[in-house]
Amino acid sequence: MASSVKWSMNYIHTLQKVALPNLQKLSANLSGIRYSSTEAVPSATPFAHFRTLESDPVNHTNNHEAQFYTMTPSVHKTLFQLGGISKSFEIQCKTFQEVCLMVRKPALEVMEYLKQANYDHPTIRYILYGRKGTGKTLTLAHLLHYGFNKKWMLLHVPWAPNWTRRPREIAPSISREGRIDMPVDAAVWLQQFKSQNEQLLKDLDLRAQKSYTWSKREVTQEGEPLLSIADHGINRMKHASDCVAVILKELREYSQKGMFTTFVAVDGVNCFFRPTDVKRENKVIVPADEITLIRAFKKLLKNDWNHGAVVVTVDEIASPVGYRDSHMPKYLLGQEGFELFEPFIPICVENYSRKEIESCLDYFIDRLWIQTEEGRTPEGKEELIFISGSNPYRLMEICKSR
Amino acid sequence: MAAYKLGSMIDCISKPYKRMILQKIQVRHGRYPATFIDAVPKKNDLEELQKEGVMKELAFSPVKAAPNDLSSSLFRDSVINHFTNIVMRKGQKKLARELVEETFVAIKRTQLAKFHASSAESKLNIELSPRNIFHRALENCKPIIILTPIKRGGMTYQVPVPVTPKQSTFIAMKWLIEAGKNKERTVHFPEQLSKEILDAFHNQGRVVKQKQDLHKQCEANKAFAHYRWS
Repeated sequence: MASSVKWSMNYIHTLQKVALPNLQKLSANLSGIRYSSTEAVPSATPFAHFRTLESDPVNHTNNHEAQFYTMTPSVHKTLFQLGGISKSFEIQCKTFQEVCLMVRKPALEVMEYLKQANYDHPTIRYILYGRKGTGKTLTLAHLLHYGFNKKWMLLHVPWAPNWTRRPREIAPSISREGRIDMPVDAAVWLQQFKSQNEQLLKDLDLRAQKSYTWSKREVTQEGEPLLSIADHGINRMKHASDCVAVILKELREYSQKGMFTTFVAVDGVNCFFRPTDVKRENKVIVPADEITLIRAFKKLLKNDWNHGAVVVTVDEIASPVGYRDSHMPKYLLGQEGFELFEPFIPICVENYSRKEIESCLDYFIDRLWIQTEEGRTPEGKEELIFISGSNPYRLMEICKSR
Repeated sequence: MAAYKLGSMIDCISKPYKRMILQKIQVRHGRYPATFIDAVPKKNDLEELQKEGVMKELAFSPVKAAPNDLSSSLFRDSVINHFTNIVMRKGQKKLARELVEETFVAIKRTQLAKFHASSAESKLNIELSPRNIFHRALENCKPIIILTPIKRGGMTYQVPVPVTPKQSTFIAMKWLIEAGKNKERTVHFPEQLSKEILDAFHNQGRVVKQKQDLHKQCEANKAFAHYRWS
């Protein structure tokens, strides 16, 4: 028995030794003739070692690590039309004629936890942290896609500092004294919420559990669909912030009943616990808690509810200047934030590993992005790896002009 | 001797160019004796020298101090480095490098978009490498003859004179940069420069026109050519 196991292991080893290089050669040949096809976009060669044909994140396993998966344009449009992927990466995707994300360890780790979690228990909070440009936001994007395919309710803040740093418009709240509303930002969020969850909301047919009076004439009666509240917020921007708060509250209550799982994703959450740049008319700085949107979202970050998962990132550049000395969650969240999140699962997003960076460089070469002949040689790749320090963002930047 | 020859050649170049060129080439105050050799930064170049068998001679010759912008990077291109230096204003080298890089990115993106949009046969004819495009564009912009004012008998004549390769490279670079700067206020320099370079690559555009105009003018002033030496 033992000998047969050993034999089969040997067999696998020889297979790997003999077959893999051949497959790679084949893929190289295929990539050579690829452009003779009539397709405008070079097709994904199934044998390319840096690609996986598995485009559903739910099925991603450790076998897919360091491989690129393709996100269909429709998913990209529904999930990230109003943010969630950085602008530089969007431009890159446009040039590459496809949206490809790398399956990386942190995302796989969180997905593993999400699969094993018991959703009857209080929500588990996952905090993605790491140095600048290591791919926290894209890991979050990958996880969002996972949640989307699992048919979870997505509550996604693409970049939280947009609310604390440069809101497009601010107005004093009409419902609560002293609070600050952000009509435009709230309406944009509602639009994004609608686009991300429209199908799910229709299928579940969620309805308001209470009647809400927005003004003398505008009332949402009990039993009206939640989508109508979102539409109201989009059409009457003045009430948008309150609509967001109501929707979040309603969804949390429904979630607690176990009707669906809610997936809360906030990018750069640490700005919720730091001084903001928002000022009142008398030039007094507004604390983050006084902003309706942030207040509503902070309630979701607690673990006093269930049937939900909270994945957030903490980022140095989300903090205001003067609070950027470290990339660790404890420093970035501060006393208040840390106490709110405790207990949480910290997940470190690190620079590329050797396997990942090689896969990334080969992907760039496949996309015709690295154009210099030197860049395609092993020595050239070695130099690129060295200069970038294996940092994903740096690598993207330095490969631009090569 | 070589320096003397160069000096006499420089004499027939118009003033602004002359000043620029004299700054580049040290004629009288060479810091190093002729026995000193230039530093060879790239590993491959050294290996090639070894193959040629020159290394034995060079092994014991003293080497000049390497300029501070020299590097052993595989991606270093001396022509692009030179171009960056000419783009540079007020010693802001980092900015200049970023601008040139941005230009190359813009070229690459334009060409890739074109590549993906075109049919299979025409794809083969599309040059994607921004460096190759730049080098060919530069070739297309280089004048082979220029006009220089020479005073004879109280009159100043625009006299056609030949240019050295180095001079014509400099002039082509200068023209490209000038064309890149001649733009709307809202357009960024790298964007405009990339357009100019792509135009020049296709042998069209303002800079190539400028070169052709200059050549035409030289042709028209052919009669004054003898003032160069008489």
